[in-house]
Amino acid sequence: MDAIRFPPPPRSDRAEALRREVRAFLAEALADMPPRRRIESWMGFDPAFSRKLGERGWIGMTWPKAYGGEARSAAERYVVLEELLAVGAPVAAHWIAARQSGPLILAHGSEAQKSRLLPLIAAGELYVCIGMSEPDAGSDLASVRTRAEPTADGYRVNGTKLWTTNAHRSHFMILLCRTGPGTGREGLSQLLVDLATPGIRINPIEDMAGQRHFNEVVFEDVLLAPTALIGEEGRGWAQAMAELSLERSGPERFLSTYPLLAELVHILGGQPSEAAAAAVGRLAAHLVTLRHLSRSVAAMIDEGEDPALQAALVKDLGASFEQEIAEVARSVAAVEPSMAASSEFSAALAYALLSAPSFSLRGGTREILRGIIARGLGLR
Amino acid sequence: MTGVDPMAEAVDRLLGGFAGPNPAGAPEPSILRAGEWDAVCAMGLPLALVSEAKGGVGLGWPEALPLLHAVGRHAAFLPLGETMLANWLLQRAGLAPEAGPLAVVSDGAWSLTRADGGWRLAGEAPRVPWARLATRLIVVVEDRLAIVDPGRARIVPGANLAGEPRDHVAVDAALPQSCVATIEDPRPGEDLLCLGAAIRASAMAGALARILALTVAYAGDRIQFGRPLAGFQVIQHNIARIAGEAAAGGAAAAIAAAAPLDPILVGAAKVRAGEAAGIAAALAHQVHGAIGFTHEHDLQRFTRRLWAWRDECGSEAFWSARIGKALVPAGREGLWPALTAGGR
Repeated sequence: MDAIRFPPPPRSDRAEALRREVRAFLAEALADMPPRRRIESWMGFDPAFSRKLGERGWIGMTWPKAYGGEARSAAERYVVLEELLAVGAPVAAHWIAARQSGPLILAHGSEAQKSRLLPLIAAGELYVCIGMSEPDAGSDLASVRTRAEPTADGYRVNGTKLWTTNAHRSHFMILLCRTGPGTGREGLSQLLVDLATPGIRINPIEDMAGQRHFNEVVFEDVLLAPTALIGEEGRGWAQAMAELSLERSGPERFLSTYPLLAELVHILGGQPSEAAAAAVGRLAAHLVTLRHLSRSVAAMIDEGEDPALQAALVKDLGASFEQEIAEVARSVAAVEPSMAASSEFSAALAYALLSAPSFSLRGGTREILRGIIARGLGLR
Repeated sequence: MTGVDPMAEAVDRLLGGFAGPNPAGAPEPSILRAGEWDAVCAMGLPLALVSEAKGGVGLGWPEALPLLHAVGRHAAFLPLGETMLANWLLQRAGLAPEAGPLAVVSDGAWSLTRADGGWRLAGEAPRVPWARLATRLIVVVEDRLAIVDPGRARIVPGANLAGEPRDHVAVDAALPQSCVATIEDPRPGEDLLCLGAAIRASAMAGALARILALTVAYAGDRIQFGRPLAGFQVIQHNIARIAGEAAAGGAAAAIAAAAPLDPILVGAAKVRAGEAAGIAAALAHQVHGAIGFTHEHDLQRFTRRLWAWRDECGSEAFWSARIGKALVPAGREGLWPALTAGGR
């Protein structure tokens, strides 16, 4: 019996009841949102919407009540996430903080960090970005050079972070940097950085879709208190890897272009051709399979397992699927893609095509993931 | 592997013992190997879906389908799924189960008419799985089934790509009243198609897991340019892709097992498993090189089955179109609820 284990995801009546509630809320809250905005998926930034979700208790909902959470199950959280993504809700403001920074702080943060940040994240009011990549450290994350020199009063940080999504709209960064001797994976730590601290410059980088998510973040003699340290000094690599595996298997790894599929179905109408029906049917088959795998990984994480191999498999398959939706859509509906078009389908297709390359780059490139899978199979 | 039920492990051990390596490169047998069906019967597998009151194991399809992974994982030459299906039908028709092996005839053109206090069955069907090895043929005609002794049928042997029996069956015979019954099922044809696809998806999941294991092992053993193939990044990445397809195939089988009569979910499972079969088989052969292309090597026993099974009980093209036609009319707002409804 040599199959890679993906236990069946649990069924939860409570989660299904919650699904109806979330659906009703979203239908009303996003009634006027056009498909060309929905395709921005979890890159759509809307603090007012994030606060509304926070009021409902749908951010950080698995966290303890003492920290602003609702102590709900992983299955319930999954339902909220996938319902948000399925309608292209603008979740970017709180998404990264809720998905990975909050859980990281909950697992490794000090009591002060937990009680200060988590309730605000859960309220949809405090946004966090991830300072990992650097100009000379992309996939090769262990070669980061940004250094936090220990001083009498804490740390002095110098260096540059790159491709930092939403740094310009975030309150804090979780910074992976060198705090000690050693190279590679040694001597790395994670620091909690208030982005209002003097010495931090945030420079925009426009992407090829004309969107502004990316930034370069420059640190020049930035002074941080010793309380900025998250977890243990020198354990930054292990903490960051655990954090990354949290972001590899969620529904956002295969639903980023789902609003385009929904729009394709809309323009096909009630009488699709055989070929168009088959194209949609095939994508639906991939979607239900990915959803099964993703929910299975969520259940394993909830059980305290470390399904790094499974998460990498889901993200690799999911990114290819998200990219393929755009290619299939253009093969079925002969519509020229244009962000400026009056056709919502055309505009959504254009956005999907121009953002698709990022799907197999962000959160671990396809090549890094296949390396992780190969290691999990014992090939390396 | 944890979390697998003990019965699945027992079936896996049993079938693994039957069909070990095939070093002589012998062709697929033309008869069941001596003792193998008896051992399968001793475990109660042909009657897995029959109620305990009638001498069966009393499983439902969600529990029985995962047992069939072992058929694919060990390339077992046994009509196990087909016999389970036949007995499930017999039970739904209120008839006694049989140890088999049994063949289900659900395609083709048939007429079943009353005659002389009994019935007359006439017609023919192409590519009936395992017909020539069956002790009984269970012919489904609309909402009735007829039990036919193979001696009263004309059976012309045929085979699928893997060499499994797929025989042409023709019957023109009078049957006694006792051999015909009504199936308690509002749509037996649809259900048989779904269950056939679910059976194939389950076996394909097992075969996919096996070709992944074979390829991992081969890449570790085979030395070229002074190091194992597994040391080459391009080989690692190709095998990682096989692992992804095997995972998708496993998920597909689980989806089908959980809702074996839901045409959307079973169809989705068959589509995804079929696609996984094509991709993974091609990559497994690429990693194995010429030796994997030979008849004496084990790999082809699994890849040929994958290529055969993906086209049986509805190909990817067939099911994709069916799913699409069912889902597209749901529209922009209805699509997601349709994909996540109930057990989906």
